[in-house]
Amino acid sequence: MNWRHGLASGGRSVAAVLVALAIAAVAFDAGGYSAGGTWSGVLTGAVTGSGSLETTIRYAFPLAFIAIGVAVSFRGGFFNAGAQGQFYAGGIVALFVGIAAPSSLGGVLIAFLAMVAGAVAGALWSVIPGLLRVYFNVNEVITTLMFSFIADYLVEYVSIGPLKSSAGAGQVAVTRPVPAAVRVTSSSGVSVSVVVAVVLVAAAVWWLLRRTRFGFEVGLVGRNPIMAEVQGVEIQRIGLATFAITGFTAGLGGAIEVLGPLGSISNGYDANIGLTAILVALVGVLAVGGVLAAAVLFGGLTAASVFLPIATGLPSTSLVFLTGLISFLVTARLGWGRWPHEVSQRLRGMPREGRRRPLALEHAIGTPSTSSTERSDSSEPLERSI
Amino acid sequence: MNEFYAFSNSVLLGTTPILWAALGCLFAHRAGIYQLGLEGLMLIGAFASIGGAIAFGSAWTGILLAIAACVVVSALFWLVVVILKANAIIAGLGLVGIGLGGTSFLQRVIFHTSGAVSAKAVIPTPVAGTATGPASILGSLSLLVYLLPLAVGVVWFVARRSNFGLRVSASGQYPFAATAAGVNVRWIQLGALCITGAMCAIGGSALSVGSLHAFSYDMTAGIGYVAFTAVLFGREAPWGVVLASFIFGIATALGIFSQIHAIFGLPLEFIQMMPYVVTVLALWFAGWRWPQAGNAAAGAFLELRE
Repeated sequence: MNWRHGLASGGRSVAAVLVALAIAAVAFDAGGYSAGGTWSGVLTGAVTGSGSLETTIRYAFPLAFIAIGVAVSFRGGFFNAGAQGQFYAGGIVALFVGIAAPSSLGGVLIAFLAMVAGAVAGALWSVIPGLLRVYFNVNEVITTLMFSFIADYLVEYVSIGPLKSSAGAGQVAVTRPVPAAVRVTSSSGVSVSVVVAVVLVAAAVWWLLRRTRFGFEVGLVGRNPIMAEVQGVEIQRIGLATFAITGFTAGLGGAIEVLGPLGSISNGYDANIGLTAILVALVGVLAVGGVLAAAVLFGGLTAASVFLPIATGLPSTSLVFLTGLISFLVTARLGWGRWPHEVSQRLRGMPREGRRRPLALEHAIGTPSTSSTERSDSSEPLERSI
Repeated sequence: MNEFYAFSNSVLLGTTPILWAALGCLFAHRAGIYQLGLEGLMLIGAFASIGGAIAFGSAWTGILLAIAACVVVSALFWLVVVILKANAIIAGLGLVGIGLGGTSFLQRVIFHTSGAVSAKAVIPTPVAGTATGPASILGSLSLLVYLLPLAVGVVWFVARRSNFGLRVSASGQYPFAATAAGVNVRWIQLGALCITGAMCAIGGSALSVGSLHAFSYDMTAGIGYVAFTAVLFGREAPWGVVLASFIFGIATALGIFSQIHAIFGLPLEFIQMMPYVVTVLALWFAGWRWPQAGNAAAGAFLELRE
């Protein structure tokens, strides 16, 4: 991707975020929560308050892990919408490994094993819908979402079931904590080991996408699967690999979340992180650098949403409303610029115009489309995909 | 035998919201739009009907309010997806978030609570819950259940036999041909989406004023996605959708039933997973049995390879 195009589409996404924030502010204002108070609350909660920046970074970590993987799937045109479930699968398995492993192994080794086990669990949770997708042509949006619902209930089961903490923790059921030696961070959620993990994952995915044949093929499949097929790309193998990568990073994020800031699993924890991570991937224009920047932005919003209910009494679910609004608008073409929208471009193949197009036929006979800008987008040279 | 009657009762209860929403989604789907935001629309409908029932003292007025709210939201969805060319799936997921967070916010602002909001005015139930014998199949089911056969008939007629239905299908299957034939694809899609919104509103109302007589946060718990799946599994045909909705309704009822009677000795959470597992299995079956049916979200490319 040309960096100027990336910047332009990143700018569009940020514009969508700002429009959504403005609408949300008006809505909150109408509901009796003054816009000025909300805004200063967001600033205090995310940036200026004491420890706020640390909280922002703490929430940016899991978002970055998940979104980097999601970006790989989206680049391949596979709509893996179930990062929430994969995040949970990783967290649950990491918790089990962290608690069950004999402490004679030493905390560092157990933590490492738990992270690997969590990542593999996330990958498996993602590969099942992936198999259904590539071999049975099953709608992956629905199956991944269904697997998320199933994981929701697994979390509920784990938190009130076999590992339930006997020490009552108020209204929400919670499991026994992992041993302190296994924790990778304190409850602040920031430590050198997590930073190293993020950098390693980001670098690995960047290298994979930009410097390997695999990354090139992912871009090819996402851009024009028929052409990729003709060029000899094994679409099914590529598809499965992207599902596995998404699940792997989401599972790793889930493991680190449980071994790090949380230390245990409570019923319904981080319930909105999957959708937020999809937005992070989209706002970050599916590029590793952009995703990391967007993760900090949304980490700040999450930190603010934790702070706002305390400061202004705004219900904590208002973040769900805000992320929903952002998601509603983020791929819309706000404005009249002629810059190609890289993100929706990569997600092509999905009926993004709201109708199912017979792609191949249309290319073959060159039927004039209702939107001429789009046609010119998709016939641009392939170099842009790498 | 009483067990059977009770089971049939809960099948009807579980199927009703799914079927209302799925019948609506049928139009969006036939018009070529993946309306994945059914869940959000149903929540808005459920909330608006309870709000209307409390404000006006009549559940029917509540349903009208719900329909109005959902039609407005559907028109906004149309604006974003068709006019501003947003990705329908991502905007649909956003609509779910708007429904979840928006209803919760309004609940706090209007009713000053985050718990359940209940209404006294409800949809009448022709057969009382205390009925015995075969009549207990219909026990304490609201009129919205009785309206379903009529709705199925009307949807079948409109989708399969009317001019509008033909235009909807043409807009979805081959928009260029539809345009050439003088159909304004965008307006047809607006109509289809508004019908979807209105029927999701009724589906949501069937949950709130129709059966629970209350609204609570996230009360749909995935029913919208199940309804979307019912359209895929029913292969976009009215009768297929009815059949698929009943399969999911039976799965839901089996969950409730085995919960009460502790049939499998499984923990509660595993029983609650059942509708979702059945949904995945149904989609797998559909993909295996009808590989050409266009089940995959990521475009028609696997279809076109054949």
